[in-house]
Amino acid sequence: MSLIQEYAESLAALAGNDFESEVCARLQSVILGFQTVPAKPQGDAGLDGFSHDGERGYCCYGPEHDEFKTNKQRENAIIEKFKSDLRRLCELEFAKKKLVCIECPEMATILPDGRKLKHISLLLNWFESHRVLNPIFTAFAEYRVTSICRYVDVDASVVVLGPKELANQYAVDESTIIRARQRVFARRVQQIARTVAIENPKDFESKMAILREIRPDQLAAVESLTEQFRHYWRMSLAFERELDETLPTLHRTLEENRKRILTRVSQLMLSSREPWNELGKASDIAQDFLERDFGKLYGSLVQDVSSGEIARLIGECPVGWEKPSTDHG
Amino acid sequence: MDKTSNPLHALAELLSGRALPIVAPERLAPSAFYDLRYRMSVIAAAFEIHAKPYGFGQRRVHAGRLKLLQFVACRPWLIGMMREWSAAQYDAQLSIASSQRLRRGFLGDQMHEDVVAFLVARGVLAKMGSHIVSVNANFLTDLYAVSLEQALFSSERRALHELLDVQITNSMLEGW
Repeated sequence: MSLIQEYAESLAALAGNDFESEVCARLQSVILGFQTVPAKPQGDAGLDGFSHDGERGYCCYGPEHDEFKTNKQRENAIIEKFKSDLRRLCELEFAKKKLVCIECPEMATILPDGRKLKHISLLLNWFESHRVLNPIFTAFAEYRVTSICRYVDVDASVVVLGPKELANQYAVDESTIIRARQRVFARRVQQIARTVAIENPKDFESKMAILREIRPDQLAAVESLTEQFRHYWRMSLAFERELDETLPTLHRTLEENRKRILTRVSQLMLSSREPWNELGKASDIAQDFLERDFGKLYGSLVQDVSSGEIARLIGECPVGWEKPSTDHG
Repeated sequence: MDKTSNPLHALAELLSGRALPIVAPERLAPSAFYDLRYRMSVIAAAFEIHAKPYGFGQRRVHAGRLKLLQFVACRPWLIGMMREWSAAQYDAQLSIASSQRLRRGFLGDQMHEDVVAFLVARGVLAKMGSHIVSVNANFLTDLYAVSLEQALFSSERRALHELLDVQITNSMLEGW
């Protein structure tokens, strides 16, 4: 598979902020002077980035893949989103179904003084229908006529670009691919973590039941902890599953690291007079191990996965606790 | 993670002085993916279900096909993705949505290569160009029979049977 094709597929797999972040990172790496527009403090006025000293603007839209049941619904959403962005750039809104001019104070704080957008790129994670084109272009022509054009040139042009077009526009190198893969991977792990089932939580539940018995004064805290451990445990399972399906070599590395983490945590707990203090450091130990092999590739996930690995050790039994015996005889 | 947001610190504080620790490193369940006997059983099942007769009493299967089949058999939830990938081979519109993840995954399954190398060294299989041939067919057949008798790995076998209906092209075996 060519790098361009793989990059196009990665872009198509991203949605929401992940898509917008990737597009902006990509444009920033290939266009000197590309400027992203943060949505804070009062919205981005419909503009996600600009370049060429404020003469070219970029608007992104990456709808979630399961957000629409039919392509028709997806087309309509794309049309409405970009028409809305273009209206904001043209300082227009509907009042009683009629376009009226408004003032958008945020635009003045974004573009350089005296500059107007001459070309606007509308960037999409799904461009499998030409039916979005006519409504967007027709609407933009109407907006330019109605607008007082403070920030958009009266002769401005607009173009719609999908993943294939974006991937083809500039050279794709290995670092671009790795960045896209990381985003897709992190997104997949978070998605899987929401649905992955913990297969046999019986031991975990019984440990938490003992904890509730030991600390009846802290039931709310124990409940909150239980939820947190489940969340991290699922993250760890999701990370493992995603590695196994896509990068089996790294899965093997994770498996080896799990053994090392357990050995280290066990050594510390067994040799310490205050074993529970050592448990408190366990996720840092896990993070130290996992950072070495996964930090560069999946830095944003390593912390959660590290906590997940310890939650898993508790859930899958190597680390546990019992009530002290009352029989001193 | 700072101390206040670390649930392990909170757990340690709750347990401190009130519970006895139990540490049992031997209870760490290793992943079945690195269990030689499990992997040999899956390969035996893939051979029994998918290999074609070859020569006298022997059977053979394309090495890439075996690698893909056993990869999906161990992960039966990927069958849907397999079907989509197979369908996308003839539909340019679908190709953008088909999985590149599965392609990378099965191609990188080094454990499978190690198990096949072991079976070749053991005289059970032989590599013949792009194919793998059963030299000691009884070994694989017996292994498969044991898993049937003891009702082991039924989801893997079910996946392998389902894969009979999925067209696997040469370009898929090359990861395309």
